[in-house]
Amino acid sequence: MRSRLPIMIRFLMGAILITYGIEKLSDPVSFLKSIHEYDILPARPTWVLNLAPSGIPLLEITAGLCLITGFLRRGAAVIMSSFLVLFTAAILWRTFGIMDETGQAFTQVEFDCGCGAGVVVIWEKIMFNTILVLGTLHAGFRAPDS
Amino acid sequence: MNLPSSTSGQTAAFTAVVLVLALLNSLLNPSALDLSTDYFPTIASENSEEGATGLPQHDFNVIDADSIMEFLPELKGSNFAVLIDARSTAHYTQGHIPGSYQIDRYHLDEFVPPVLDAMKEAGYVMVYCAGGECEDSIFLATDLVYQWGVDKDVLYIFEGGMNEWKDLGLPIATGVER
Repeated sequence: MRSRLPIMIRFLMGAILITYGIEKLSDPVSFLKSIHEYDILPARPTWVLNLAPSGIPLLEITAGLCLITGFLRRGAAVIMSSFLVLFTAAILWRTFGIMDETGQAFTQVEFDCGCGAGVVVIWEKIMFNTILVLGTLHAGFRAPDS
Repeated sequence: MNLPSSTSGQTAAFTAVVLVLALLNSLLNPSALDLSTDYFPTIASENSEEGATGLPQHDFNVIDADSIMEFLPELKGSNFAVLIDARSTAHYTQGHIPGSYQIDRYHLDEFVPPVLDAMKEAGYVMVYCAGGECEDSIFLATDLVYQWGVDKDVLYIFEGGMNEWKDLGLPIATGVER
């Protein structure tokens, strides 16, 4: 009997992404402020920064749906995992900045990373994102269709 | 319809789908942010180094809670002093300084026009947001001066904001007041 674990991973990853996407989409202003805090996207032209609070949640929701339904599953996994890697790198960059400013140890740093979960312990968030990247790639490329 | 079978084809198709959805959301969803609005105006961003309060440095007048308390009787029935809450509707309805108007900084076209005449006639326009590191009052003040023509000399920022107001145990109104 084939293991059901790969299918469960597909559905779990899809559900996590959809949940995070809905959370961000419901409060675009808070998410815009979080993105602005990272100081990565240019403030001008304005549409680049202003499109992100709807673009990123819709990316997550669409990727979640694709992983669950199988529609464009590999494409969704590539884009979503790439985005997660970039976003995790941005979180790390901001964490190092906070460590420089405050003298806090890496394990002590907490802030609202704009991930849809409020203030989080950063090393835990980075571990979680790493699992999310691996899970998304597995769901896109290794899990069976049904 | 044939779906792309290669990973690169699926990646391109997925990207296109997300971009179309994001654009449609921005254009059709009334709560979405306006793509052409500068929500972080340059005049405040240029002085974005944090001051002692944790807020970006700015050159607006500041006002404290005691002074606002003295203005409270003036807020109703005259436009001598106008108090502006720069937070979202959800936060405003949960609790605001009595007599304050709400101007959600992220939806200026909807909120500014009904209050604009009052602000242009007023001798004091006081703006607050949550307090702490909240920057919305400063950015709103910047927009009011440089986009909407409110006189900078009459604008005052209450940096302590709603958090300080609550901590001091001062009166709070709930719901939609004005």
